[in-house]
Amino acid sequence: MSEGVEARVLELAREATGDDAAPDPLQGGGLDSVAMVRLLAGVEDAFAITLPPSEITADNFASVATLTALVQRLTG
Amino acid sequence: MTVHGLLSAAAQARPEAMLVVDGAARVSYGEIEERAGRIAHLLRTVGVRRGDRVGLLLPNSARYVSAYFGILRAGAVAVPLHTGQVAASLAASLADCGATALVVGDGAALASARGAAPMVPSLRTILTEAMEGEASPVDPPADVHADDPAVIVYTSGSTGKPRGAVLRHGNVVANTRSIVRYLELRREDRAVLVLPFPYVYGASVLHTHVAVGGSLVLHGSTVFPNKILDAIAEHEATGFAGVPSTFAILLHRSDIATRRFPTLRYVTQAGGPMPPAHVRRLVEALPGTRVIVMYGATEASARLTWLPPEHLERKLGSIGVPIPDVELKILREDGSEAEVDEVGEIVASGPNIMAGYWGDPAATAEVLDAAGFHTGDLGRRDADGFFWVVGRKREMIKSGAHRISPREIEDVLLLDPAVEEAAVVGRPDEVLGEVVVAHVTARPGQHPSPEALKRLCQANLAAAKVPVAIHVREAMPRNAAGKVDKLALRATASAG
Repeated sequence: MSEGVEARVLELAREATGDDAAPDPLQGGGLDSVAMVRLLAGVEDAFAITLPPSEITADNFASVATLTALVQRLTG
Repeated sequence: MTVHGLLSAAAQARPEAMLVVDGAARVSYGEIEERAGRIAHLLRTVGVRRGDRVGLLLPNSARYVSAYFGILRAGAVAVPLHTGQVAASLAASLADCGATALVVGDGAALASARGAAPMVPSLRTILTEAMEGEASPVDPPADVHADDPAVIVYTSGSTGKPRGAVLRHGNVVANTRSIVRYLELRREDRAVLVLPFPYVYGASVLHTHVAVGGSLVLHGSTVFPNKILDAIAEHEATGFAGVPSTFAILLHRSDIATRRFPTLRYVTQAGGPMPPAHVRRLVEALPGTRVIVMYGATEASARLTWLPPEHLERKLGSIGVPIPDVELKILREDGSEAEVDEVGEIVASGPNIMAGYWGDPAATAEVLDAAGFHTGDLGRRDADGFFWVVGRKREMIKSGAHRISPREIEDVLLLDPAVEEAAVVGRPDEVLGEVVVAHVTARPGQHPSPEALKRLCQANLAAAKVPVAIHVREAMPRNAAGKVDKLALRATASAG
């Protein structure tokens, strides 16, 4: 289950940032405000969750792994 | 008065006062003035002369501010450039104005500057931060005047050719003084800035605060919206400036509605029309803060109108009235002045209007004439003297005998609470010339229904204005300025 979520999060991060090459497009400053808006919409849609403003933090969006953990916390 | 003269005057009056908060660094007026002197000296040493163009490729930072004023102090013309551009587009701007030097940051910016350099024959010097430390700080300002060019701002035009608006010292200073007057800025003012300096809106926040001896807190981006609110609270900011997407992000993705900002005296909004529904929510979210809607253009140094907050409720959706020293007219196609409430082109005149586009008399002649600067925006003036933008001249959809303003339809679509953004474009049609097509995005957790939106349009609009197709998209395509890219939408509309 966890691997499936992580793979989907990675896919969404790639779509949002337009970065297909990096192993983790969220690492290394790939996230600008437009990419962020896309990513938030993508994640909410894919997992049928609402991300509260208090969770939209640098820590939660530091990597695909941290974002996956957030998604699992909110879906679980 | 020159633009760098504003800095020198403030630095002389209160050298110890803080100008820029950049991360952990707090940099005073005196320090910025000294660093600007060093950079001016260094530029002269490498052969930069009065009137030469010098590129500026740095993120918002104290160094940007020093370099910007240093370039002006050397008598050169500053060409602010967006970081994150690909080398080819950077080279196109630098080559267009024949820049001889480029002040650049480290890392990615330096790499793209090096990539661009071979494509810019005029470029002789790339100045990095390491070179600045050794320069002498003692350098008298160049002999420049109000009529000399200060800045060339490359606009995010949708055509391939770069178009650089040449702003004279006098243009920028006049516009700065007008803005200071209506915002009632004082030296106690402190703004949190998320807008990039290379945009005239970001630059105008810098100019106005320097003019009054105020300060700026630089904040990297809007990626984490609550962080902006933290910065406003932590630094006890009195002002904040944003474009519609900044406020859309804050309204939808931050705790703005539940937090309180007792020091925040005003927020300004410019950079394209903000949906009236968002303006209203912003006013509700910020009780005690003046919400000031503004309108302007790069070619006008920044600002043309403002909507005084006391009229906001009654004139919601209007761009307000001309700022001090600016005159606005609504002109018909034949150049005559339109009647009250008659739609025509918004044409502006005043001391803030640019000299022209660099090296492009044909493009200049298209927008500048004896009447003033033709904004390309269609608008009307109401009986109370308030101006309303109804669309872009080129954006107007011609369907059968109708001239349709996309804005009017977008405003109706935004009445649906499930809709976050709406963009309406024309699709070529054999019979009608064009037909109306709408694109919308959903608010978080919402699913707008094209059928319901169509009914909403039918209830609120004339039949010719009801979209023939309504597409729900995950995101809007955007141009480099962050604005919805209607050319791209039109391309999809033509294909579909």
